[in-house]
This record gives sequence, structure tokens and C-alpha cells, in this order.
Amino acid sequence: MARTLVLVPVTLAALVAFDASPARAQYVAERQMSARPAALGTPERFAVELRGGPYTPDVGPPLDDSFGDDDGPLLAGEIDVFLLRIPYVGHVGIGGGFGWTRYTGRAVTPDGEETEEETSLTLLPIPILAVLRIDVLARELDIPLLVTGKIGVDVVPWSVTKGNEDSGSGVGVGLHWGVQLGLELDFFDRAAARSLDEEWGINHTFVFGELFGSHAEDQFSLADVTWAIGLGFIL
Amino acid sequence: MDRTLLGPEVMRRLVRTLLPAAALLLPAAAAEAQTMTVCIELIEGRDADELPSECGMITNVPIGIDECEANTRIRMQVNNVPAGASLLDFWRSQGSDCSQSLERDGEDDTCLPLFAEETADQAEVDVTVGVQDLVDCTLGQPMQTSTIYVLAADTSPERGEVSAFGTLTIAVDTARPDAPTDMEGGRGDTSIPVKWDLSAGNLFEHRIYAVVGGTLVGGGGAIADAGAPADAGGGGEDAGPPSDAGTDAGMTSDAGTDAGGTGGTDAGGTGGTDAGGTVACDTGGLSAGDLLVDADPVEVVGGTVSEVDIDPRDLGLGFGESAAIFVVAVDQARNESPLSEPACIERVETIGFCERIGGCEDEGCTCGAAPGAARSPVALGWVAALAAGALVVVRRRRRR
Repeated sequence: MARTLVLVPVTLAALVAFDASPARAQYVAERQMSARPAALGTPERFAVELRGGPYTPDVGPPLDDSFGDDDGPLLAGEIDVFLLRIPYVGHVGIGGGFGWTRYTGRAVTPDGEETEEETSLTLLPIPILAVLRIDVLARELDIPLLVTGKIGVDVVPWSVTKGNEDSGSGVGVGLHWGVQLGLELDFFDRAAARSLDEEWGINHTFVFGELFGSHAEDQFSLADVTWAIGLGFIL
Repeated sequence: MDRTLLGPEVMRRLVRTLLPAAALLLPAAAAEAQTMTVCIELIEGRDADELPSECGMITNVPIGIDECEANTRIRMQVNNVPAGASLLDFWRSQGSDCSQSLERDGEDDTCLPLFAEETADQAEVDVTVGVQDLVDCTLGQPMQTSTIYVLAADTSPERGEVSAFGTLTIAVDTARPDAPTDMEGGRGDTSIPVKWDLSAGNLFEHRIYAVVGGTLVGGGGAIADAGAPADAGGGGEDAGPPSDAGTDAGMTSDAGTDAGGTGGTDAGGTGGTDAGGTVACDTGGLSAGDLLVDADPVEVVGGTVSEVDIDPRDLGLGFGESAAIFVVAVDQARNESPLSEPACIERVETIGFCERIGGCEDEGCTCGAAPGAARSPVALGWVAALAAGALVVVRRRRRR
């Protein structure tokens, strides 16, 4: 969680630095000189995100005792479909994702002695989300910043193994929310960004950090509030 | 011009020098000298996929110790035998071109005559010989290749020029691979990893043997007397004479062959421990360095694999019972290494994540939710709200 709190100010500091840099001046100049403003690129219909970060379900001592400090990581992908564009705000859409994380540790004897047998917990989170992606800063004010809010449901199939046996499985369900701060990378090379759009339909590429929470539960809690970083594309 | 320069001797030298060059420059003429092909049709005891894939070689699965020891029969077919040849004369090359008469003059040992086979005026001749008739089966030699020349001849050994010949390249490996080292066992209920360090060389597979209660699982098996000091753990190529000499019918201990010397076994070969020293097991008299013959492995894994999960239930182990696991490395010639040192495994009751969250009150551990179990109303409410919101947005978009 401490790392999460560090991520936001670092991103903001980077943005402030960018704002005062020659790169910023070049970016603005290129935008002004561009014969084809970004808004006139190919239509923006989708966003695709690839992410990774720690995830530790809030199970408590059973998880710590079984898997120690194993915190995943959670590797995930997400696709958002933009259904509506609100002028001077951004896109509204729905999204779905798929993630994977696995925790492994050693089974113990009834006396608490560690054995060589492996026990594991695997989670496959599937968030189904409503998404508001605010891009007014990037489109209207030339500040390459995206702010995205997400809220929806997490469906989390899980399974537990011990040795050669599947010793349990189920599906947890619960609220999922997220707040994402993205930095569009177009300003590095606007010509290349335009070329990507014309040839591949990739309007924008961005890196992001996301604070998110899952409150999925089944027989035990699968919930966590954590962070992820990743790479995204607007198509 | 000095007329002696054009004398008969000079002309002979000139022709002798130019003829090989002419043969190289005229492929058709050179090819005419090698018109026969030698194709392997059967190697006794081998599966079809272990036979050469093309004529002229036995290199994909080299001849190994067992085949040399047993003088395995090889049936080959020699094709395109010239009509005039009454014999097929077999020579083994020591790096020379035995199709050249100069190499077969008997003045050195670069070409060794082997045997001859009558052609009976047939263009295709089947020849069946023991592997010892073709290659040097000196035991303990690492991988080496020999080329067998088959000459269309009239006498044997043929020392003159021949009109046709064919070749067969044979790889021979009569050195055993080293035994795997640094064996690790452990404890568990349904799966116990057994690990080892790979021995050197291009291995074909590893065979896993288990001893439970002093008896080799799967039955069979005998210990071959390693004879010379075994170097199972030491890394030498030669593990001593192979298999059948001095074979014990039973599983008697080959005392003194605890050659691994890497720990885990006692000198008498009657017990062992796991790497951590917490599990002891009865090795049934087997110990590192023994050569096991005619035994059935409990599992076979690939040549690059250095870990296998053993299910102690498959070995019939109850809680508190242990087994000794030995690993044998097998090289591409199917030569088996001596036994590794034993890794001990013990079946114990274990507690995993599922048991820790308290899902095992009933028989067996099923910590999953029952099918159709009710979901949180809050979660279901969120699903409904999300669906409704999406529906509103879609309808509004269509209206626009």
C-alpha cells in the first residue's frame, strides 16, 4: 500500500516536470503545426490495457502461513468498449478483463513441520466494468494526461491444490473499482503516433498506474486494495 | 627442349597426377566408382524408430553396451552390386578411404579386412552379421564412429582396385553415462519432488526405481557386479564391465560399491536418508554404483529432466512409511548408468491452504463453494446496476 501511495505523486511530479520541459514546448508546437489534429484521427472505439502488480487476497493468517510473502503478481489484461463520448469530458464505456495470479508454498505436517509437498492458490479475476475515461486534458489542453474511473463487478474463479490433488475451487463475486492515471506517450514522437493511427488504428499509447480494489468473496475473502502499472492503447 | 622430359616415366607420372583430378572434375566418372548403397533393414531388439532413417549410416541411435555384449544381429541390404562381382568384401576404415587399393595393401592398419559375403550374382544382397563383426566393441570407449567399406570384389581380402563400393557409417558408444548426483527426496502426502543433478553428456532418458520395504517395486531386477571400482559418482566414463557377468539373481547388496560418496547412503547399502537428513529409508541392499539389470522403473522421464514428482500412494505407501528412490541415466546409445545414491521419501499427512482455511471438516478436503451457492446480494446488485447502466447507454446511443 505504501508503494501505491508513492506512485501517484511520482506520476504527478513527472507531469509537472514535463510541463516545464523543452519536450513540452516541442509537443505544443507540433500539435499547433500539425495539419491533422489528434481529434481528427481515426475514431476511438476501444482501449486495451496490459497490467501487472501485487495482489494479496485478504484471507489473513491462513494465506500468510501457507504462502509467506508471496504477493502474486497479478497479471491482467482489459478491453474497454467506448459507447459514448461526452464532449469536453471523455469516453463512457464498458470493459471486461482477465487476470491470473498464483501463490505457492509448502504443505506442513500436523506438527507444523514443512514438507516438500506444494500447496497453491490460483485466482483468475474477471472484472466487468463501467468505465469513464476523461481525456479532456490531453485533447483540449495539450496535457497528455488521462484519468479513468472504473466500477463494476469482479468475478473471481479460484482453485486450491495440494500435491497432486485439487483440494478446492469456487467462484468469488464482489465489487470492483479502480482509479487510473495515464500518461499518453504521443508527445515523444507525434509523427510516429500518427503513423500508428493511420496504419494500425492505434490512436494513442499510454502508460498508467492504477489504484484498484476488489471486494470479491466466496468461502473466504478474495478482496484486496492494491495497485498495478501497465501499458495501454486506445484504438 | 630436353627429350627426357617427355619420356615414358614422365608420362606415367603425369597421368598418375592428373587422373584423380580428372575424377574430381568429372562427377559422373567419380560417381561410377561408388554405385552401391548399404541399407540397414533390421537391428535385433530395436524398435522401428531406432533404425537408421537413411541408407549408409547407423548414427541416430549408436550401438551401445548391451548390443555389443549380445553381439546383436544386424541385417543389411547391399544394392546395385555390379554383375561381375562374386564377393562383397567388408573392410573397416581407421580414417582412410578403403576404396583405394593403396589403403588396403596391408602395410599399415588403416583399413582392416573383416569378412566377405558371396553375391550369387545378385544385384541386391542381404547380409546378416553380428555387431562385433563390424565394429570394435572394446568396452568403455566413448562415442566414436567407424566407416565400413563394402567392396565389389573377386577375392577376399581384396587388395586390388575395385569397380564399385559402398559405405556404412556406424556410431559406437560403449561407455556408461555417469549416475545422477545430489539426490534430494522429502516428505509429502500425494506428491513428493525428487531432484537430482544431471550427469554430463547427451542423455536420452532417466529411469526412476523405487524400493519399498526392502523390495524393488515392480519386481525383477538384479545387481550386476560392477567388478572394477565403480565410479558412479565420480564422473568417469568407465563404470567397469557391463551387466551380465557375475549377475546376482536376487537383490543382494554389492557392498563396497558406494561409489557415489556424496552422502545419503551407508556403506553397507542397506539404508539411506533424504538430502535434509530427516527421512530414512531401507534401500533393500541397493546402493550407489550398482548396475541394475532387468528391472522395471516406476517412472521414466526425459534426458534433460532433473526432477520428478512421486506420488507415494502409487508406491503403496501408508502414512509414516518410506521408500528409497534411485535414478539411472540413459544415454543416446541406451547405455545405463550405475544407480544414483538413494533419495528417501516418506508419506506423511499434510496440511495445505485448503485445510488451513477450515474447509476439511468432512471427509476429504473440499473447501470450494457448493454448486449453486447463494451469492452476496450486494454483488448481485452491482451486476444488475452495471447491466442496467450499459443498457441505458446503448439505447441512448442508438437514439442519437
